Amino acid sequence: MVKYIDLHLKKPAKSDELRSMLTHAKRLGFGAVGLASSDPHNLRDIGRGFDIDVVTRVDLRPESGRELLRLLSNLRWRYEVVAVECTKKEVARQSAKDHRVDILNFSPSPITRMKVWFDRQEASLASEAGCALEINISDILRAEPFQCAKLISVVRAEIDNARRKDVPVVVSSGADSPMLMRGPREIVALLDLLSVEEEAGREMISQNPLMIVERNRGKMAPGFVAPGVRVVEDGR
Amino acid sequence: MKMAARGVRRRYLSFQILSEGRFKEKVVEEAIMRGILTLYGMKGLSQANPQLIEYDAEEKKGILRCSHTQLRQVRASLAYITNLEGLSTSINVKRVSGTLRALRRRQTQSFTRPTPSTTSISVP
Repeated sequence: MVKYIDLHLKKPAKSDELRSMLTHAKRLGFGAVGLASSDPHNLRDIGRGFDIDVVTRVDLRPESGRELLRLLSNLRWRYEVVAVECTKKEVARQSAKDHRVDILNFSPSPITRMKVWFDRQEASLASEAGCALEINISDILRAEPFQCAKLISVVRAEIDNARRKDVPVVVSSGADSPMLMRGPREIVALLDLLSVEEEAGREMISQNPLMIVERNRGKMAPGFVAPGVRVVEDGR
Repeated sequence: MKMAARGVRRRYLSFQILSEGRFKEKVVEEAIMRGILTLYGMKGLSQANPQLIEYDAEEKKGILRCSHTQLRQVRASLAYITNLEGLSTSINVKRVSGTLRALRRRQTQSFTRPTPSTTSISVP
């Protein structure tokens, strides 16, 4: 059975909305959600109460490459998923090169996005470092029609660049309230606007995010030494 | 023997509106049409040929009929709707069926599917 994952739920403005978002995610058919929060410790326990797996996530928004490196060295292994919102070219390049970054995000504004976006060089760097490109559906839903059309055209080119270099694409809701959340089939249907086929769309909301989460949980598990190498028994 | 002329096959979608407000059938129908028109234009709207079969304003549930070839586009258009009459709204498709009878039968059946357990993400 396919497990759908919404890897990007933002912390809602009202604290009591978080629980309704988790209930709604479960009702929509998601097996796991990624929750962006400054406090990762309580999130998994909250998720257990709603029978949904919660993946801890941090969204970084550095102003420079140096700040990004400082944030990564402090925060990387406190969260299961690290995403970087690239608002500057320097940050985008540095993030794409860094193995500690899991997800690259870009501005929802089409004007900014046309200046700093997931171009071919970015895709080459991301491919070598194992980063994924994330598309937030809420960016499309929130935009006015003309802005939405421009945004869709940029995102379509980004997905094309990602596919050329075998960079995984992850599609999430990016919602900060239950009203902006959509079911997995609805998200796959919306990807028709980005010229993404149904099968590929399903992978973007199931296999691709699952791969990132499993990889990082493996690294954070006790006994991890390197990919494929674990301490099974300590002989001391 | 004369074969019965077959038109385009149809799909019936049952949907649920999530919103603070209650809306009239006409408002919901217009919003759906506008959604398809915005995303796919006049050509898309004519190809989808949507029709609101029934709508319960109290429960905020309805059934929409559309062409089977445009099902994905209609789903996308429903997902695209974010507000009705100025109120924040989302429309979730609950079920899709090829016939209205099968859709209604599944809706009235009170069986509960066992809910899948929490994703078992393996940790090697």
